[in-house]
Amino acid sequence: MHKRNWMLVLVLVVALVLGACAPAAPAPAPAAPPAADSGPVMDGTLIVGRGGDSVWLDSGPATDGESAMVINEIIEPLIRLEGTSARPIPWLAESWETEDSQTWVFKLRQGVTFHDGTPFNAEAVRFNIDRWRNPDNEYRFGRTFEYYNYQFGNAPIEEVNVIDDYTIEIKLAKPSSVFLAKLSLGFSFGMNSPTAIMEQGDAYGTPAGSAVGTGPFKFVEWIPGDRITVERNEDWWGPKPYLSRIIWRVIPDNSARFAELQAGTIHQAYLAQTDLPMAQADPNIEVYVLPSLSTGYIAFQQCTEPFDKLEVRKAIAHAVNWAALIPAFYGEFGQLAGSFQPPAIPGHNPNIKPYEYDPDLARELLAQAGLPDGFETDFWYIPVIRGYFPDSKAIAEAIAADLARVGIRVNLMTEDWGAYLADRNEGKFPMWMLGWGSDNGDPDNYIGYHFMHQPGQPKKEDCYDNPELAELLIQGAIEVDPAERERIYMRAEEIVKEDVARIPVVWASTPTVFRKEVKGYTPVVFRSWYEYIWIDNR
Amino acid sequence: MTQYILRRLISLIPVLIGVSIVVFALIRMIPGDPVTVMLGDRARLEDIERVREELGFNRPIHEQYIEWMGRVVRGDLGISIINRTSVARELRARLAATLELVLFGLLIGVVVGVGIGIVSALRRNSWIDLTATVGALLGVSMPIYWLALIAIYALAVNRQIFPPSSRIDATFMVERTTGFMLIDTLLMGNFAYFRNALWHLILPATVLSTTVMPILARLTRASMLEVLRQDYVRTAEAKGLRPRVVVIRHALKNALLPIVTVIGLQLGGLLGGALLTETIFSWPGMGLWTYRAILSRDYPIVQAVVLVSATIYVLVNLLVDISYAYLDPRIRVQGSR
Amino acid sequence: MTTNAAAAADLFAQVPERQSRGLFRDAWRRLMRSWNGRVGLAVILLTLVVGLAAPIVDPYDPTIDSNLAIARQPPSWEHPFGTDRLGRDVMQRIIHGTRISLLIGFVVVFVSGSIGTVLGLISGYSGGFVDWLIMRMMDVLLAFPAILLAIAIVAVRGPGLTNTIIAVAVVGIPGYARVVRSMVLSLRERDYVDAARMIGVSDAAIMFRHILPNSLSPIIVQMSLGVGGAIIFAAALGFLGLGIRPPQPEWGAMIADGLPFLRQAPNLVFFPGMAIMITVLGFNLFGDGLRDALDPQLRD
Repeated sequence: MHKRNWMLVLVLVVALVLGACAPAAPAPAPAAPPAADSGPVMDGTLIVGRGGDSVWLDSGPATDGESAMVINEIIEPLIRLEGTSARPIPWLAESWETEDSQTWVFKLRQGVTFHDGTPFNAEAVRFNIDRWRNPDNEYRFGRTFEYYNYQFGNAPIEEVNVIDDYTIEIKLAKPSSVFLAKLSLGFSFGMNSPTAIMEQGDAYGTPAGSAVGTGPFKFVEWIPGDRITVERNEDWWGPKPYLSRIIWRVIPDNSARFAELQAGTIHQAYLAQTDLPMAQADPNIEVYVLPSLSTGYIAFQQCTEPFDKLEVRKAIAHAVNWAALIPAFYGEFGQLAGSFQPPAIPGHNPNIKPYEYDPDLARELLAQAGLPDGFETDFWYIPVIRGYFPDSKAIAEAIAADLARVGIRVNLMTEDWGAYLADRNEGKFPMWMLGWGSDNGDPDNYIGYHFMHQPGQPKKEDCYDNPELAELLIQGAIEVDPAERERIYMRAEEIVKEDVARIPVVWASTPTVFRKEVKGYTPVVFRSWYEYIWIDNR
Repeated sequence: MTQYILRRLISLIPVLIGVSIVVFALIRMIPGDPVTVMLGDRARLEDIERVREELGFNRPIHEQYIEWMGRVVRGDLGISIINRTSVARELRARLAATLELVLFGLLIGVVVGVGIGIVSALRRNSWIDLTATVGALLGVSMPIYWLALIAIYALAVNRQIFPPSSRIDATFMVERTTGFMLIDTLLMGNFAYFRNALWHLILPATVLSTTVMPILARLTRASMLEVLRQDYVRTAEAKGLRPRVVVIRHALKNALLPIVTVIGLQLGGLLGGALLTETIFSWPGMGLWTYRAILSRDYPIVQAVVLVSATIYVLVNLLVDISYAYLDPRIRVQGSR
Repeated sequence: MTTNAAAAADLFAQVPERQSRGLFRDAWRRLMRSWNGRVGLAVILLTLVVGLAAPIVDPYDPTIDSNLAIARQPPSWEHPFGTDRLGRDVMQRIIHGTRISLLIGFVVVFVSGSIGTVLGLISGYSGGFVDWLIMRMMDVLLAFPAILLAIAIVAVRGPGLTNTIIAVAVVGIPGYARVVRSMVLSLRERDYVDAARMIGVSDAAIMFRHILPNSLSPIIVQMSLGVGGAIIFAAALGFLGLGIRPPQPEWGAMIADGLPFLRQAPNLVFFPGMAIMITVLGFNLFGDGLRDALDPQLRD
């Protein structure tokens, strides 16, 4: 999940491990809103400040965090993951069964209607699934269903059969043990109203149309670049939400956003890393910290000189004082990365330690590589703010400084985000920075996503080919036994480290920031559960 | 006069065609492809090809241009490539936001600028005059986005006197009739909303007004001084008319023409300043929108914004010329300079 | 912003009759007597000295100048303007940024001044279709929102010093072309031009030898005001992240870098802006003084 949404990653899935750590997990957040001293207050408008606007309010094409945080309140998936663990809990599907992890039968919740009054039933589910999986579906309107392509690319949905009004059968091409976790991504596998899609055509999910789901809140208006408003769905199948409205406001300037939070004109804000210490010090603001589920890394084009040489990649790993970057740029919201995957992801290898800062060793390695005087190259830094690189330009400058000290001169380059990702995919960058946040807490979606290739057929982006790693990752995607999978991914982490395939720099964690009068929030990783939040101005 | 206006109107056409060609060609020269940006980093090649086909990007560029112009003439500005919204609809909303800011900034600039000009002329070489002169020089030498930041820091962050961003509090639901927040809130008859919108407008508009204020102050001061030297002022004074009133009235009449000209000429600067000011104040106008559109190669938006701004620019300057011609008939005979 | 300066010059400049060395010497004397001329010149000289001497006095490599251990320190005796996010001394970076801004200012004015002058000369002197065509081209440039034009040019060509200069220079051209053309129009029908034409002097010679020298003073005024405009404009591009590549200490980019810390460390935003303001102020004062000096009637 590169596109803007590493935030949502936390708010979304993860943490098979979190679950494992707390086997006797308490009742899930949605079932028991935490008791407050004075009891919940009905009605009230929650205003959320964020840096950018949503791209789609269409569950399917949406990939970015700004879209996901709104879609999650309007449109619902069949399954959600419990907040405090990664256990799947019934949502629009009341129950499910499978014998071979390949054919799944879901019993749907009855009596649920979409916001436009049309019924939610098996036909609606089939309509939505067909829209994800069939590139020729006439209701795709030229949109790309990126998340489907990539979550189900290896094991697509082969068949969807309506058994009766409230029973549906889904057949996968291959068994998958993480199918339910995948389905829980509400922003891309949620149930849109088929009628609304058919009526609105390609206006659906854009500011020119609306978004229609079954969720606790209904779409009201979307003024692009300014705000999106939703209101309480009085007919929601769940308990009545306390808030009557939620407004997401776009405030691009970080200082302005923070100032509004302090002034109380917004209740929740996505803040720049740099403002967090002041937010923590503010008596009216509460900063909730969630566990790390993302990695910021440095990567190389390994088919061309000089990064084809292991010594050069190693030299870079030892030339930079990575540890110094953490206090300077992340404060307490980042941890120096050892292995590629953060500790919350299964297969994380705790034996892998961060690279030691050793400029002399770096110079020696360069000399071994036949480059005693160093070399010059382009180093691309991301043009956007991400939790894993909250100040990418300054971090790139700091890295460039350390590299210059051992004789490696890098030209700092960047370009528009879309072009950046496209050129990176084309393998045009000799050395670049990027990061990743987990979509569903599964290693196949983490180390697997980055290094998966067929032996002898490296990906264009880094041209990295290691047959042993390739075999391991292919096997890991199919393996059902958790212990065996863990062993596979731990070995994969070792190979990545031995080859210096990428240099993990940081495991970053996301804070959620509310004003204190906002009550009922539980800091869990899947979503914000806005239906349990209220504003208490008493 | 009608003939003069007509002739001038016709002479605008080649300029606007030129602008349309330049923007059309220029934005297509930016490396990268809007379709890749739109479809994201995991798009399939077939999808990219298909969307390119649908949007007509595979056809020769002159065909694309002619088709675009044909639609523009019919008032159709197309659909945003990135988020599929009607460009015309969004442009209307954003243009209103920008114009509200620009016009209010202009108003502040004219009132304060002319006021300062009058006072400094009447109290020539006093400390007021000196302060105004230095202030004007500082004003034109300051980067506007920097001034905006300092203003936010001092008046919205450090002391929360003004709101630091947006046009109105988010909880206020305003019916957008005209798109001008001040007018819409008045139409709703809601004075609390109106006050709130005005409160949001003051800081960015004042920052923006500094692009015109110094020049207006100097112009007014110069024409005031010229009037003060005239014989008829002395005559009027001799006749016992209240001197201040006479002087100010004459001076303003004298200064009117250059002031109008400056406003026309400064419009480009004002719109440019508005872009930067909007960025800092999170003002949902054309600035941030267009800037993003250029970087994400959203051709229809950039083309529409440039064409509309250019049209506004040439029309305002035409108005300036017409008022000149109206006041000074010799220009009509000469035609355009 | 260059066009604003152009407009102002257009508005105030009047056509002097004939100029000679004597007149320029008089003008210089008048300039040195006016307070704005003197102060302006002093500021310009100061920035020039700072800009030229800095690399000699203090060899500085912006790439390796970082020390995270002393990041974001408030102003102190050791670091009068504080240190930035990478622990770089803000004052040192501002001083070394002077050269970049001055370079941009001067080169831009030279480029757009000479292109604009040539276009204006050709346009005014030849008249007819050529005149129409050139002036319409200039109208197109003027009608195109300047900042958007510059952003688009940088987006096409990529960031960097040369491309920043190109983008800012293009925006400035029409101002010069218009001023020069109106000068040419008023000079074209003068007796000495007629005389030169009659004795068979070529068009090019008439343009460059007779008309150009006589229209120098408004061009000079325009250029001196244009330097400030170009510096502000280029800094705006830098602020938007489209200017010179990091880690070069460009003032506009420094303001943008300080932006996230506006609340905690306003010094990071304040001082680079002051540097821009003072430098531009110097050029504006000087240009003002120069205009008054070249055209004594205009002074009050």
